[in-house]
Amino acid sequence: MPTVLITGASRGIGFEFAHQYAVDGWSVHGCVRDPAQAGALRALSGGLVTVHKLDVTRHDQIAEVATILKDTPIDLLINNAGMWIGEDEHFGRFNNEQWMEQFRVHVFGTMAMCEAFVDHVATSEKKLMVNISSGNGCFGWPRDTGDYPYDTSKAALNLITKGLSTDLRDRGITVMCFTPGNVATDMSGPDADLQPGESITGMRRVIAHLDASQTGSFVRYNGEIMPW
Amino acid sequence: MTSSVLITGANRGVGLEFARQYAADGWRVLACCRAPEQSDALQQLGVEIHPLDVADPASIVALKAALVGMPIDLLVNNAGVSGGDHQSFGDIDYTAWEQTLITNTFGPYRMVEAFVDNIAISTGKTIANISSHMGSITHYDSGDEYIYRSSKTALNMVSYNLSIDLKDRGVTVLAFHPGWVVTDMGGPDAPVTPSDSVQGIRRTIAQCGPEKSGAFLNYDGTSLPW
Repeated sequence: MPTVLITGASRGIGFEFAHQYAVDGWSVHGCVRDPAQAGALRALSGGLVTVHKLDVTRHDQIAEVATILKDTPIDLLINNAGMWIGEDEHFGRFNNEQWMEQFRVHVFGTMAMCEAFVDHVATSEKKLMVNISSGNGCFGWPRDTGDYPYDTSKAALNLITKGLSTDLRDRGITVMCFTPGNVATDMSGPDADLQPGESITGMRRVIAHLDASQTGSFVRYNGEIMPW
Repeated sequence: MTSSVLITGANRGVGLEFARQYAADGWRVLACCRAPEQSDALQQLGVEIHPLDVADPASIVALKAALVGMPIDLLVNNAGVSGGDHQSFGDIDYTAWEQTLITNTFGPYRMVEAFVDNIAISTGKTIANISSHMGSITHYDSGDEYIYRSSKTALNMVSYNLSIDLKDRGVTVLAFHPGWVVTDMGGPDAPVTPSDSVQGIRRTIAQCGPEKSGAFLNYDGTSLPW
């Protein structure tokens, strides 16, 4: 069965990806910052689930997991780990360090994962890299106010996704990014209008039909193409 | 009344040309650079020169204190860096990436945060962020140059968000691609002169009202895709 590596797999969207791929019998490698808190991930049944200690802002930990898995082809890398600081994202309410932390997680973390695992993905059957972005990273997406650290880092994530799609084309790797919808998770809160199950089922359907012609695209969880 | 313009990175290249042209037009020019004592070309213009490092929030706060209550018709966020020599896949310098974001993306935002009151009490009420078409995701079909490009994409998102947040205060926010300009950054083979680039941007700024706020424009005034 295929193998998937997921960052931010302890809860929310990352956990639901792990859950659904495990049910389908995939080999699931879930990356979490604190393995002691990953009981639910370990308890998933179906395919083989392995938990790794990996904080995407810690490039030494990324290198360590890449070494542990050096002989394991990874069909699908899902760069999912993310953060949001609520109303402190608004104009005048955050400092440069808070802003940079979101770049470290959303942008540098994704790039470092792709750099570290490119060989694992290139030697796999499916050769897929999927980045979980956001409608907030889309220019023209309706908004009442700016969530500056979040919106700018997600726009930058979309930019690097487009670049990676070109850089990795020769290795046969398809790279794309999703907006998962406004999913009810610990991060976005209970008022969100979409359940994780529906969002992830939709994204998995898109992923199952991905081919090289869709590399570099920005897609909504239900398959609609997003503008940049 | 005399209009006033505050320009960052005014000691050379596009920033210096902005200072030269607005001074020639009779504007009050507040030219900012990191090392005023080394800015010979700027000193020859006879404009006000202020020390400012946009990468240092304390430096911005100090300038803000010096200019309290002074109307600023136009803020030109021009200061920028190129991101260094390690911007390719597999060879990314993450420290350089942070430093580039602090100057190219966070710096312009911090300038707006600090001077929004000065801009809002002016007549012109305009912010021009000097971005680059290299920040366009649509046009990015070559790979490579991740650091510089992402910093400009993020700056574009700053501009877009500011256009929403400052709408009620009547402030117009524009993001510009200055063209590939003959400067220290652009190199000698670039097809556009600083003079033509800045003339085009000045003409476009003069024509753009609040209804154009949030736009991403080429120096000649045509729209660019995100």
